[in-house]
Amino acid sequence: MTVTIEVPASVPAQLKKPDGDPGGSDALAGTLYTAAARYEEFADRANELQTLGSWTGIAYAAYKDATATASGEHAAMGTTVRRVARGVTGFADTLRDLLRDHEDLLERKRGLDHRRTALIADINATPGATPGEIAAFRERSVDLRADYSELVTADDDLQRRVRENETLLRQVFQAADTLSESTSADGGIPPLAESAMNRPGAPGSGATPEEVKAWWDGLTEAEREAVIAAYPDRIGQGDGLPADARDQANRILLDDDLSRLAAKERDDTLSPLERSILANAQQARDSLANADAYTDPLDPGLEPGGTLWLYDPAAYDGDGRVAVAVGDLDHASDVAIFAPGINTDMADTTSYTDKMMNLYESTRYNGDGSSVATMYWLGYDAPDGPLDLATLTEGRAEDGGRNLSDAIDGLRASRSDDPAHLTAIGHSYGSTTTSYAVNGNPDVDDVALLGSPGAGPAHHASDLGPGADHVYVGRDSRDLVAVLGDEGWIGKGGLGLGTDPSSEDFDATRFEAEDVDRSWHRNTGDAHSSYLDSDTESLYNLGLIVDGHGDDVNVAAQSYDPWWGPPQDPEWDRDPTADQPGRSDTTAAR
Amino acid sequence: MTRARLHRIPLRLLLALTLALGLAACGDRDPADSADDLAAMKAAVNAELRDMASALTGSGLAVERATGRVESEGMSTYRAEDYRASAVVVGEGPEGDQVDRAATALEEAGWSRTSDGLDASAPWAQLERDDFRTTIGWTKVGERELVLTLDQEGEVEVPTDTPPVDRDNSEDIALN
Repeated sequence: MTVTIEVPASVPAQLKKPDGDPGGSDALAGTLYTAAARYEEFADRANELQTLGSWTGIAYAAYKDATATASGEHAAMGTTVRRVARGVTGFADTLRDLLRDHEDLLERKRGLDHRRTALIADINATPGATPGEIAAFRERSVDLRADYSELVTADDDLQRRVRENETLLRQVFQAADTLSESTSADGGIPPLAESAMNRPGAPGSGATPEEVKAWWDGLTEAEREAVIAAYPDRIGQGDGLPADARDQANRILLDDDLSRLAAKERDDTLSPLERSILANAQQARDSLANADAYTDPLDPGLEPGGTLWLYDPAAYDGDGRVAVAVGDLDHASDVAIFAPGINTDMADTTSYTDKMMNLYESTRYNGDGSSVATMYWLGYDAPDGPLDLATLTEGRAEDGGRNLSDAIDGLRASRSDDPAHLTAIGHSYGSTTTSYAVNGNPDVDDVALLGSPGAGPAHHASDLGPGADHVYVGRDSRDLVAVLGDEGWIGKGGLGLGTDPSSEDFDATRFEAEDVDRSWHRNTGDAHSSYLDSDTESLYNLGLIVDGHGDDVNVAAQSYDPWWGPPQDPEWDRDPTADQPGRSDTTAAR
Repeated sequence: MTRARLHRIPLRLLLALTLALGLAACGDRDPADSADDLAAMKAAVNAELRDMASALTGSGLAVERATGRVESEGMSTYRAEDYRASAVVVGEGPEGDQVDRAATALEEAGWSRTSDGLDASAPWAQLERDDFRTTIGWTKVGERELVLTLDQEGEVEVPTDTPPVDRDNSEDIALN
């Protein structure tokens, strides 16, 4: 009896590679950014030349009108060219993704073809197959057919996305190919993006993070790509949006600043603010490069990647706002958000990103195997230093707390179906900011305050959202800043910024955080700044907290203020440790 | 602003002064001085590691693949760099015995064991001599190896605008 086993054909016959060269597209975008810089320079110069000292009369009035018009038109054209350039950058980014997906499909097809060849060979090698063998061959054939079918669907999807990406690029150019369009307020914005952005719930419209999330969920893939490229400033700061979307948008803004301002720097036409913006952009670029290249300490094949979650380099007179994450904020099981203290602006981004890698490593190395993301968040105007009067009051912390609370709400809303274990960490003045953010706010699971001058509005750990059992405090006994908070019935006369969170009165869980190289006296140097250094007690315990195992921290006795004398710190006389397993060992590499 | 808050302002100016004095005591360092200090630290640590390798070799253990690495430390008001060395120690026998043999060999060379009585989840020892501290333990990630790390007390303060060092900056240390 002849038995027929239908082996499926190898389909699709061809996996068409997306046309185009991302590098070439990036080069085109760079040229456009440079052209935009030239338009801006012309506009600025025309504006400067409007006033010519003592000139008067009809001719001068006409001259002023003409220069004003020229300035305005060139400024508008510069904006339009920037939008087109951003569209090209977005096209290049998407094309890169598409090419990567194409490679994945090729690999899948190679695997399926290998299985098909093996099936045919096995069938041919079994002329007198038993009913059981025949059934097994048929089952393999059915499975193979289903997998080929999935591949065809995936290829169709890829080709559709390729067409949509090309359509979007065409629309970007078509929206700026006449003089009236290039000088209009929406020149270079494709209709697809404009219509999507006009729907209720779009970021920047006053919508809540939950509404923004719903708006995003209602967009098609093409609309998402369109709004990222056309409105990167609104998408990049859209609380409630996936971190990946924010990252794509902010990287477009970053490319814009780097290329355009570098052109102006070559022409020596940078304003002082633009010079700060360019320096901030370079910090963001370098931080992202480091984060993107970071390798997971437990899995050499895993690069968790970097995310530019917030990018606003002109904020606060050029100090800038920025948030850079190490790891996948959209999918990591454990997410930490870290707020820095005084003396911090965007110029410190590479340094703090490095600290986020330390925290990531400690969490993974001593953790339960869960995935991790750690984010440096400078979303507020941190005081410039100890002599900045803002350091002495809680105003910046209160404002920053609102921003941080919004950021936390945004992170939560973006993952409403898949909530991460979320830890908020604040250092120095940033700990006061963090206290304001989580005071009565249950959206974080754990809170850690480091080197804190005071817990701001919270007088007791139970005032903070996650509850007293989930509030942790790290304080080096030599940390001068951390002894300034109020404790005891006398307090410290309002020296600090609220209650000392390491004190008995506050009653948080204090964990070991002594620096092994500590000095004999209190200081604002290493004693205040080593909480995130490798192989320290502090970083070890923070890793456990971020991993969701705060119950396992090595507990330190709380400070207290007896009626008969000055405040006491029981940690003062304890010998600190470094690199000790189960206590201060945080690095996988040796 | 409330009256109570206004009353706190002079006290807070005192806080500013205190912090400022603290920072002034630290100062922002000359990069050249920092580089010189780091080079001196490297030389001292590497020399100490060679000395340790000699002591361990005499006890039947072999020291291989020694490397040194600079790490960035500090944040906010203070930034520093530290140099640490590490080396793979090769021997025979149970893991705990090898750790103990290495620690004993170093004790005979003048090191003092500081980890006795401390809890640890795996065979491990820590010793000190002068201003050096060494940790001997087994790697938990990758190939299982006995490794000693060496650190000198303190770190080198650097200007607060110093970029962090490349995390992958390991350099081989010649043991001879």
